[in-house]
Amino acid sequence: MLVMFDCVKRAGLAVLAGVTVMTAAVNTASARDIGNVTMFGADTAFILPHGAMFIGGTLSDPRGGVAGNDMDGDIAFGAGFLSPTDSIGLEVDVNITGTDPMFDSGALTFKASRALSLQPNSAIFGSVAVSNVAAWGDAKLADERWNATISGMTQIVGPSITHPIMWTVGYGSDAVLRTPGRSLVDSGVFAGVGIGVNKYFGVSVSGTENQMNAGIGISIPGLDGVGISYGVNDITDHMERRQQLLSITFTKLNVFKGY
Amino acid sequence: MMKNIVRFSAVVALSLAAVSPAFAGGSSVVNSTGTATSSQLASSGVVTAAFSGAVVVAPGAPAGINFQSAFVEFYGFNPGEPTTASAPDAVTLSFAE
Repeated sequence: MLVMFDCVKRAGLAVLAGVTVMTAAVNTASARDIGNVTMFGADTAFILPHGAMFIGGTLSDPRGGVAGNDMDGDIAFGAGFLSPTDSIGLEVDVNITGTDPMFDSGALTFKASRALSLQPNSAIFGSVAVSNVAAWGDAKLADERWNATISGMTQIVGPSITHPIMWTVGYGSDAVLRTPGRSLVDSGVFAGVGIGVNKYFGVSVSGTENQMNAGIGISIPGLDGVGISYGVNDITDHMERRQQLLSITFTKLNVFKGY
Repeated sequence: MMKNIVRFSAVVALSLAAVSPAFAGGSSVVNSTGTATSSQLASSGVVTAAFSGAVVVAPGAPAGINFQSAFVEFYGFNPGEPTTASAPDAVTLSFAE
């Protein structure tokens, strides 16, 4: 079991031997469950750490949020490089948007992130991302997209569980639908907030200037690194683009090391 | 001029995608929030992974998550080196029992 202690920064390794003696007491005093926080429908500034990789799949219904369309499927995978707490972290993702035939359309996403503030009970990160880069297939018909995002974490301490709260605010190209019933987009603001309700379940709401999204995140006991999310974009159908999305992701830390 | 042509082509393509399921273009292309699907997926995984092992903290400390500790450890900060982020004077070290 992993146990953590606060130590004075420059105390050095000499402190470690003494601290380990206190392990048993800490185990009984401070272990708590932590809620499974999630964010649906809005990007955040948090990125994969160096050496971590993820793969995920999304089913969306209907395609593009257009009523009457069939379901659609996307696949994405990516890796993290460097550290946003030491310098600037970078994440590179591959989006496969064409799955019939497989891989006939897709693009890259690059996101750079930096820890702006790290305090004991809050953390704030900032990021800049550009997506639809080096697109191929039908994805090539669209321009590159970008966004700048600030995201933070804080918490509510409940009687038996700590509920982490994640928030995000950003501005991006192509972030806001222009008119109801069309798929044309403009640049604009997006934002969201999520809370970990219990150890395996979290809820979130997000939105742009004219639509609201809501979703849940689920983790499965015994399946480390697996995350499931379900949500609805444009949940009020204000922009006539209501769309259900079901995603499954697997994140693996320390797949590779060294620079 | 080229930019306008490309943008016009994209608009036409997206409009076709909106009315014709046969015209390919996934939900990441016609994304109603415009943000990157992969980035959302990764962010969700990041946060889950970052806190799946984060157990709190020092004897006598207020109950809760130490975010500074969780993120610094998650991103591989070396406790022997000062962080360039705005960390407080105390850092958290980890030990396997």
